[in-house]
Amino acid sequence: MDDLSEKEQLEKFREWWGENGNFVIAGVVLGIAIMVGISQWRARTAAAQVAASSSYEALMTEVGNGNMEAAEIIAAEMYDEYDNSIYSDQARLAMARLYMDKSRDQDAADALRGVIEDGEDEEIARVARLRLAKVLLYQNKPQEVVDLLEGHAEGAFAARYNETLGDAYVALGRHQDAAEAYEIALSDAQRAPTIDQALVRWKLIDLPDPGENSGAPESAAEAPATPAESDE
Amino acid sequence: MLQIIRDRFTGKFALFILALITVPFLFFGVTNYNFLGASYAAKVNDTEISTAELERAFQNQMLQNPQLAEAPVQYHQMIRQSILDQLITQALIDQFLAENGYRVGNEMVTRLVQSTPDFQVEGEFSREKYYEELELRGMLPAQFEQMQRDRIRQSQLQRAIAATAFVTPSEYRRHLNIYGEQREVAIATFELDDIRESIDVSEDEILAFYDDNPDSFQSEESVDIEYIEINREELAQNAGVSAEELEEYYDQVANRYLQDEQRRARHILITFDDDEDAARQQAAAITARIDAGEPFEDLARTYSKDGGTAEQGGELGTVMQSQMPGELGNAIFSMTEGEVRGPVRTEFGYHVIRLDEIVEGGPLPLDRVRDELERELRDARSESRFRELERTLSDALFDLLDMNTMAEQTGLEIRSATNFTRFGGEPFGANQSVIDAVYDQRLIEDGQISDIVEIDATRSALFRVTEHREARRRPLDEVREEIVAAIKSRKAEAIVRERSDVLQAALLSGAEFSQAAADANAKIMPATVTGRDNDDIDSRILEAVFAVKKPTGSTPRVGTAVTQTGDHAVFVVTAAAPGRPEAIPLAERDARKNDLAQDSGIADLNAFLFELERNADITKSESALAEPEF
Repeated sequence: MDDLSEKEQLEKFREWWGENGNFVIAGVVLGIAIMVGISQWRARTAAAQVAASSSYEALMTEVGNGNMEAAEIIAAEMYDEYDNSIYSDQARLAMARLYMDKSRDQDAADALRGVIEDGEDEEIARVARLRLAKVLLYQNKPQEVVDLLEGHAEGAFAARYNETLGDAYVALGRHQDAAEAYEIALSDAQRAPTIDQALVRWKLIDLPDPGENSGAPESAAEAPATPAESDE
Repeated sequence: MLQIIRDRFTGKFALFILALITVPFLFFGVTNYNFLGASYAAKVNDTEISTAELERAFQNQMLQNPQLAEAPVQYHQMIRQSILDQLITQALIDQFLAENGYRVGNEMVTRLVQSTPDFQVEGEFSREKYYEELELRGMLPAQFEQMQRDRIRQSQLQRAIAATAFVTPSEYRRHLNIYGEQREVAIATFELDDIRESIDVSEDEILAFYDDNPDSFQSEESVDIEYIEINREELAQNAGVSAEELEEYYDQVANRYLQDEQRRARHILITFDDDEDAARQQAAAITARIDAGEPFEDLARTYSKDGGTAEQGGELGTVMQSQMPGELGNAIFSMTEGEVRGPVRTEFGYHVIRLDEIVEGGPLPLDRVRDELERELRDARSESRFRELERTLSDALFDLLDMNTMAEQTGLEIRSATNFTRFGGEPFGANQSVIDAVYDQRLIEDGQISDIVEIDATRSALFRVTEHREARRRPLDEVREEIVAAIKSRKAEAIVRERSDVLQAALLSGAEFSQAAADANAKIMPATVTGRDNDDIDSRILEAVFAVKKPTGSTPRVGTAVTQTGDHAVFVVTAAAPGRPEAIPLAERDARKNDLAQDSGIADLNAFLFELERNADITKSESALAEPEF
């Protein structure tokens, strides 16, 4: 470099700039444009999220006060404007609770179905599926509960799903299936406490003796095994 | 177009691309580059929980929870483990919140801050109070507000799941049916104690038992010891301190207790309010009334605006001048006893003052400091006596003197203790220094005296072993009673079991309960209706009663149970009825239903969190759980 005089260097740069300058400028301009675009997009998304969040808080207040009219207005607005936000899913969960409190079980079922069918998050949908199953069971549609839950009783929700599944089998008179579902719920709950284990054990005991369905008298006299007998 | 890109990629186009990516780079920089390498306690998806973070959380827990801090070191790893699990759950929640666009607006944070009672003055939010409180917590408002923002964000998720669960009417009815179930049951019990009484145990049986259990009935190795103890507490108690010595010591140190002069005074305060002149005139008038003989106290009660003292007749108490700076103090400390002065102007208003008493300054009298001085003298004496005794004893040890001589020389008594094992014993507990000193070859085999052992901060002692017993099998005569009891229990257990089996078989083949139970010599509880909670029935039996299937038709259910104390029970359940919701008062029914909904919501939330954890990629570093070395 030493052998080039300042003037020569300047000359070289001019030449280079003449050839490439436009590209450099275009690059810088486009880069800035993309940055501005991204930051604007972010700001708009953030604003929408904040607005959804505020609406949600307002909804929770109305739900907490049992104020159906106001809650329905806010919820409808949220479904409409923030349909792709997780806050809409949460609004549906909250509305389902309010509907159940007001004995509007069909509306509750519809709200929960909304979360399952086009919810934003798989885990929230799992919660909704379980709650829908409980509503359906209350509506005396045990077969629909079985259809809804079978094949989904897995992961951390396995114990809870299986308990409700067992309840549905009981309603269908499928006692053997019910027993199996309760057993799975109990063994699964060992890993993570997500059910009332005493209640499920008692539900299991509450099932009629399988041998007795035929009404055979000698099997009725069979001594049932008790936990206390197995102490040796 | 493609042709152009390819042609120019090496030259101009490359520059264009470079410029394109340089711009954001210049603005955002390279963030969060960890030059120190991966030193994380756990990695949750892409988030690292650093060892420093874990350590900070651990120390915080220790500070906040004194019980944890007392836990032995070997539990620390467990505590760290559970704290790390909490941090992991926290990280999972944070990630979920970020991914799903949870966001909390400023106005929500503001509302929360303003409604916090700590930041309010008389029910209104006060900015000054807010800053003050934050300073106390060593936090900047921005930091604090960010914390609140995170909290609200988390609570949105928690409430969304936990607070929206419900219990359907049918679910609730079933719950009550089961929890409130009633069963009619009759119980026959065979008690071990009853039968144990009647059992005879022969000498042969005792001998056989002793021979059949060669590993039982071992006694531990133990020693009997003699020791001479020097005890600072005892020495201090015994050190005599005479009245003259105390006085002499007081004279030496009295300057420690110098007190300034104190004065007791009363005052009446007339505040300026709007008219300073009027205040001065009123104060002057009051002074005149006092001079004319009216009682100061009464006037103070009537006129003084000093709310704290007016009720007490203006009494200011006994104060030093340093406690009462300013004009008021100057006035009080320039008056003579009994003088009334007024009006005196201060920043508070006009005062009328009377000086009641002057307490001369000087050292506190001996009586006020006697206990403290006596303690000091005793401590000083016992300390020097302690050293002296220690020196005498180590000289005696060097001269190989025996313990009696040592006791004579020091005037200390020889004490003894028996059955001191390798795990310790009275009166030293499990003090390891004593155990080590006593279980020493030289003491046990050669009968030597130990060195002086420092037991704890107040006690030192030297020891001698007078008797050493090896671990051994205790002789038959010593353990005869234990053996008899064991054989009786064993036999009684067999008898009880057999009777219970016979009764159970009889009942299963259709025998009538009260007859069969009476025939079997059982203790009978006649048919009773019971719920799942019943203090009158043994808990194991009650559990078994509700663990058998419900009876069908007229055939009762037969079951057995063994109580915690080993008694056997046979029972028949003759009827079962589901719990009735109607049995619960209406108001309580709703409350119970709400509780259940809440439980269900919490269970949903737990399952939800477990599910997040299950789906995450979590690596824990085992080494991070160990105690760090500093």
